[in-house]
Amino acid sequence: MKHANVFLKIFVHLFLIIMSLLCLLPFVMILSVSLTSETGIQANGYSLIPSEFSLEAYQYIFRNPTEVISAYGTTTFVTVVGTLVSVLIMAMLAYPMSRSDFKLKNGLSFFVYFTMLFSGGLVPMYILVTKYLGLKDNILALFLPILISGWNTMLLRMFMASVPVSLIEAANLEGASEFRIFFTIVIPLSKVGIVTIALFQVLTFWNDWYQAMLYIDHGDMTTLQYMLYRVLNKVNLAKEYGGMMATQEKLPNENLRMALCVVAAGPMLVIFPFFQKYFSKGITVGGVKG
Amino acid sequence: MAKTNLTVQNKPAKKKGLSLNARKSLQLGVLTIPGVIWFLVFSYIPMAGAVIAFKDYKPKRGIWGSEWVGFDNFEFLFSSNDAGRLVFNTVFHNFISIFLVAFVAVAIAVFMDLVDKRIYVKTYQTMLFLPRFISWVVVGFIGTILFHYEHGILNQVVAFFGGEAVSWYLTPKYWWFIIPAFGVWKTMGYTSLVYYGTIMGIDTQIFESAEIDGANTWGKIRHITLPLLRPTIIIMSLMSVGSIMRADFGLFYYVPNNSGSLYSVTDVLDTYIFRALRGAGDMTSSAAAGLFQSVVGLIMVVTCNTIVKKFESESALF
Amino acid sequence: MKKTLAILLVLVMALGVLAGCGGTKDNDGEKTLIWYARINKEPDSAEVFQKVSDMAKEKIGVAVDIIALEDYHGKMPVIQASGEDYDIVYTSSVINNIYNNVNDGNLLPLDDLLKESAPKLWELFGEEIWEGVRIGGKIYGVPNQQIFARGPGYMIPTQNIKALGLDLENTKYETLEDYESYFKAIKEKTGSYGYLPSTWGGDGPQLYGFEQVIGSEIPGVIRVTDDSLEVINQYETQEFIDHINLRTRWVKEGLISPMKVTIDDVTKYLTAEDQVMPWLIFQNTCAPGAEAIFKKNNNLDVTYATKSEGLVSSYSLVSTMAAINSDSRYPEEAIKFIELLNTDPEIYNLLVYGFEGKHYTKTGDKTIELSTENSYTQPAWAIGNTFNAYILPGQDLDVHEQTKAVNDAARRSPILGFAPDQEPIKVEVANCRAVVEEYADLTDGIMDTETAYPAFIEKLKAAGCDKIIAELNKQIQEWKASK
Repeated sequence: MKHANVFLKIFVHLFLIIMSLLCLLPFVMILSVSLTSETGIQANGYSLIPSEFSLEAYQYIFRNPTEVISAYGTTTFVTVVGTLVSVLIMAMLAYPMSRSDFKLKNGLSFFVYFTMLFSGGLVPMYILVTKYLGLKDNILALFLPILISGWNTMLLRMFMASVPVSLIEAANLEGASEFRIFFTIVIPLSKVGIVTIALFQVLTFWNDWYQAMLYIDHGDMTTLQYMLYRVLNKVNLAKEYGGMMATQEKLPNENLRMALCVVAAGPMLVIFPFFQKYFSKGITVGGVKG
Repeated sequence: MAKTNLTVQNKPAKKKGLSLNARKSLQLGVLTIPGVIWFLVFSYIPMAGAVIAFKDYKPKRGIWGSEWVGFDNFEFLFSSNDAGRLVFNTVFHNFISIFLVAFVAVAIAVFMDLVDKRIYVKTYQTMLFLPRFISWVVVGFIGTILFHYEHGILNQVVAFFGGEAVSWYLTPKYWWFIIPAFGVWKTMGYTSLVYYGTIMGIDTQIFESAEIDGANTWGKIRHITLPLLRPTIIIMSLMSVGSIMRADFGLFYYVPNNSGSLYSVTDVLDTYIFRALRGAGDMTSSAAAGLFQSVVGLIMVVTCNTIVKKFESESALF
Repeated sequence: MKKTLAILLVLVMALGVLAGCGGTKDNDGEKTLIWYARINKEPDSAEVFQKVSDMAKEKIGVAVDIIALEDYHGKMPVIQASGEDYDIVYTSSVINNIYNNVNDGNLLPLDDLLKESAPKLWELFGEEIWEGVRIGGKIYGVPNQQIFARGPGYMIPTQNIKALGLDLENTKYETLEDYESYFKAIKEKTGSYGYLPSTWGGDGPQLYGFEQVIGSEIPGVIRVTDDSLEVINQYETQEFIDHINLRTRWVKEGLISPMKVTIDDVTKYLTAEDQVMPWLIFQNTCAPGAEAIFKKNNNLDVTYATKSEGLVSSYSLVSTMAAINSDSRYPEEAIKFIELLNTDPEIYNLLVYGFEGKHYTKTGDKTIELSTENSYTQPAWAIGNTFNAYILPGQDLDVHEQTKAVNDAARRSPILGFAPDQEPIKVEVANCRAVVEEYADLTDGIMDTETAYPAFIEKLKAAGCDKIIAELNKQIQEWKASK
């Protein structure tokens, strides 16, 4: 929207700047703590600018670079493959759900939504994945159990429902199959929705540590988030059991906890703008004839 | 777009035999197959395992070999004298969060649409997304920077204005605001993306013709953007209603530092279940609690969906 | 379109290939034990575990697949509940609770196995210890030899002795109340309050002469000097009321901080060595050498001012154990491997400290120094017989003999050998646990005692604490009669 007046513009920017800063400052704090030496934290507490600059936390993490690099590799693979496969499957599922003339529309939507409400819980899932599918220590176990998201499928359905019916009808009259309509009309027209969902899926796979915790017993296969989780979990357990365990094992330093956080989230900051490229307007009905 | 060669067999479109509708339905049905199979395998089959909620589950006997015990496993949840407080807190915070997140996220999306330069949009969006990468455990650490009695930023501000230091972790009343604030903070960037995406999907011709009719910015927001966002808002809220009995565990556990003094505000079903069953390794009781949360969610969502269907059938979930 | 299809095809093929390389079990008919160990995954752990397995193959003819589960708390219940295959497991009074496991039939009774297949292990402990770990008359786990005489105490940062001019020899530090002068001295010197972590959690009540019957926090204690073995609710005793009143008063008088602190905070408040370090540290178990471990982990020198009389109880005996799956295919080999962990210093130290020369260097016959370059740390107490562990700098050369002496001399719990059955009071235990956690701040003296204490007791009653007490009394009297 152009032509907005100056006061409105100032207000809009002010609002967005304040909101953005609220989100940015904690992250800056994390970055700063991760770059502060442990003695600096003890002496001066947390601060927005490192009180005693030090790379010790990062040196510690990368003292054994193979683990981190392989974790990056695993996480990246899982994220890329998981996202591509899941978005395709979800789009294929969401499109019929978005067609008001499809008889099974409501039934299918309920079928999907129901899985958001009910789950069998951890144990049946674990038995399924390890015993019946035999996926223990298999990289597939890192994304297959969480591949499809009911929530995101419903969102995709919503985006696809806004594809003009007239276009689909026109294609119908020309004798195009539903597959053709799906790939040549619906997908391009719901590009923004698909990219949004793809981004959400990227996050799901990137942020997941639970599958790694459950299904990986052996070997070096680990994900970034699981590395981070292991460290944080030690701290939490020590807190839960109060004084009892604290003296039996040394706890990870605070700068290390924060540095792991940065290492785990960092790449996403690069990936995010890549997706934003597709958040653009200007899709008009005229522009999509296949 | 490249030409599609995928569906060769459908080229002679007007072939007789199958009626067009049936064939089209079949094609649509074929598209759903991979998704349906995944849901069957990874959601519906394990769902049968939820019967352990009604069993005295002994692993060595297996799920089906264990004894039935009726509703025994639900006892711990309902016999708790905190049940009222837990349900109230869970539902209350969820309602607040549904409204607040929708409000803030829509505001962000609409405002973002008013920003001309792409670089600003990108910067704002990236920053707003950051909280999504910080796990609640770490948010808990950051929380102590704010709320710490001695070194906390808030108490430093209070002291600056000559006030007396506040014991944030011991005073429940503040947490009616702190909890929703953190909840919104964490999700607003994420949710606003859905609304922003919807706005991006609006046919630009609509705006252009409105401009020709002399609509100003506010008029376009009021008469075009917001009405077109309406179904999205309704659907998003409807979907959230299903988890009305589930709370975001990390928000209620790590952010208040699991401080017992704050439980009158921060204790929700999920934290209670965790606390009561910790160490017991009791799978059946937690399965029972989960089932209860699901059933209430189902009732709520079916009710709301029926109401929505009456007034605005295209925004209904199913 | 073609692109999409191509990508799809590649993906499907990739998935197919990946699915093909699934897990492997016993290779070439060789026997392999699966051990879910409560140890850490370290950079070199794969090599260490392989070496351990090779040694086991050589000594007892069986390979061992060591699975290091760092998140034992989160994952072991799932493994147990799903009935997964494994042979050896870590079990304890807290994590992977032994009483629940026995109740669920997850563990193999070891009585005969021990005597027949692992005589050296059987002889490691006296009849008293074996009697103490029995549950329902049977042995289900082998305790890891370590400090069994559990008892908490208070530690003072060593630098305070000089900075505050303390005289530990001639001052009476027996109860928490005796530390009033200590906190007053801190306040006088620094002008501010001191820090006192929770003093009632863990085994804390033992300082007041109680033994907790079903673990920390849950209502139900006996007085160790009371021969009638009457179970009472510790939260209704005068001792508890005095404890919270004392802490509340100290908070009000500005002697201790009005916020919750944990030992994790210690390192945040470190002061220069010639200055007052305003802490009193509560230590759950006064094992010999605990000061050295505390120094290693928290970078602070500490000195014991109060040590409670240690207590050997069933609860302390089962606090870290090795057990065997009731479905284990190789129970005999499994017990033999557990025997190795407890009687073979070579294999034990390999697991605990890693490779000599790489992860540590020997400085004497039994003393070592850890490498600063290659780190490899494992919790020794979760693996086996800690008396076989090499001695670290700062520990006394005879630390193991000291520990043994403490174990032998310690008071025996009057209910040693009693294993409570929690099944009939499962619901009440869960609800009481939730209530006690809610009132943790009351126990720390930072809640308004006047209103919070009656509310706490009322909620405990509503949660069924009286039923727990009654049931435990019944079980203990039955146990006493059967002896």
